[in-house]
Amino acid sequence: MRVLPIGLSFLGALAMSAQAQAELWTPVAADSTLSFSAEQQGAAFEGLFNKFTATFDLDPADPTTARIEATIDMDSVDTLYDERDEALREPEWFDVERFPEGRFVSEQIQKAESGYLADAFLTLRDATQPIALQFTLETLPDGRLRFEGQSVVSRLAFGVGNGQWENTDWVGDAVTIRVSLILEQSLP
Amino acid sequence: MAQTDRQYTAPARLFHWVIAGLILYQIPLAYYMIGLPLSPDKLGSYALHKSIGITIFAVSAARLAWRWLRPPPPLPANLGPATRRVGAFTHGLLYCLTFAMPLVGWLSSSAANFPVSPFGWFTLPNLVAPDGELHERLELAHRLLAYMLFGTLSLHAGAALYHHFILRDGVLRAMLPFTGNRS
Ligand code: HEM
Repeated sequence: MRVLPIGLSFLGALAMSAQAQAELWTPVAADSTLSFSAEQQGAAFEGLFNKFTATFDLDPADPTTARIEATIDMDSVDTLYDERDEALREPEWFDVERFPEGRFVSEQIQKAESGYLADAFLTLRDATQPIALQFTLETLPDGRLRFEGQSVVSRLAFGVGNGQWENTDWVGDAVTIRVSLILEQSLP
Repeated sequence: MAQTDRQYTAPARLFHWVIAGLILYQIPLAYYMIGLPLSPDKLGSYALHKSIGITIFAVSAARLAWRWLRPPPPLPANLGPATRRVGAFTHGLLYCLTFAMPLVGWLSSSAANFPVSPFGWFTLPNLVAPDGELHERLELAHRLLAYMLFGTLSLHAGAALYHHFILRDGVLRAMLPFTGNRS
């Protein structure tokens, strides 16, 4: 029977795809946000980056094998107050003219108490620093994935707010980054 | 005895002069801060301005409550009805402004997504959603209220001096601190 080997290899292929298979996932822009919370004058305020892209080389069954990369358009910063956004684009902060993009690259992912912990490198301006991103991943009924991540970083470690802004009396050093994404599988 | 009846109570006098002191600090601080270039100093001065402003609001609320419990002493009998009305109107306006100025400032900060934290102790909720245009209108309103305040304060201080030096009727003394038993 010639059908048998063909049938077997078909079964084999099925088995392989059921195993850990990284697939390419990307955020659905309309349902995804990259936001941050920082402290000014003793009070927290929220901001967004309206433009960013990300790719997830990801097996939903085992996120520890994933590789995540993201690029942030620093000019798209939006703190819901134009004057502050303008100030953030200046050389003392993001310096978007010289450093238009921020980069995030995951290094290693491990299971955490709840969800996962990604050791990653974040590049802002010309500084690359290790950061830890805590995240959860959930498969939605429609097959898409919900990714919720959070990381607390030091703005000063990246030189964001240099010169007189190294003073943290009125603009705090700690910034909480929040990633809330809906991922859909895209063709590689 | 009649003299002490003409006196505001000690808490009423304390409220009055605390608020007067805060406002007289607040106004030059406001013009100092808006002239500063963007810097940590500027942010710090704004933070102080907002904290003092919210304090003025809170002390004014306590003051009104006290006024309701202990009404002010009667005015000298020889003051005519028109004078009384002008006085009552000016005082009413001053009360309104000590509430309206901080409230509009708070609204304006809210519209700029700058939550207000009095002295860093706690954070007030934003009263309105961030909105650049609304923020500009509120900033203008805050400025116009400040001009109204300058006018009303001048009238108020002028009237106090007029009572004291021209009419010599003890109206200013009724509000001065440390005037307990003097005539
Ligand atoms: C009785 C209380 C207050 C008084 C007498 C007062 C007075 C003033 C004055 C005179 C100015 C300068 C006006 C101008 O822009 O030309 C000013 C500006 C300002 N005030 Fe107040 N203020 C009070 C409370 C507050 C509060 C509670 C806040 C915020 C929570 C606030 C926020 C501001 C801000 C942000 C500006 C700057 C506006 C700009 O940059 O043009 N103020 N205030």
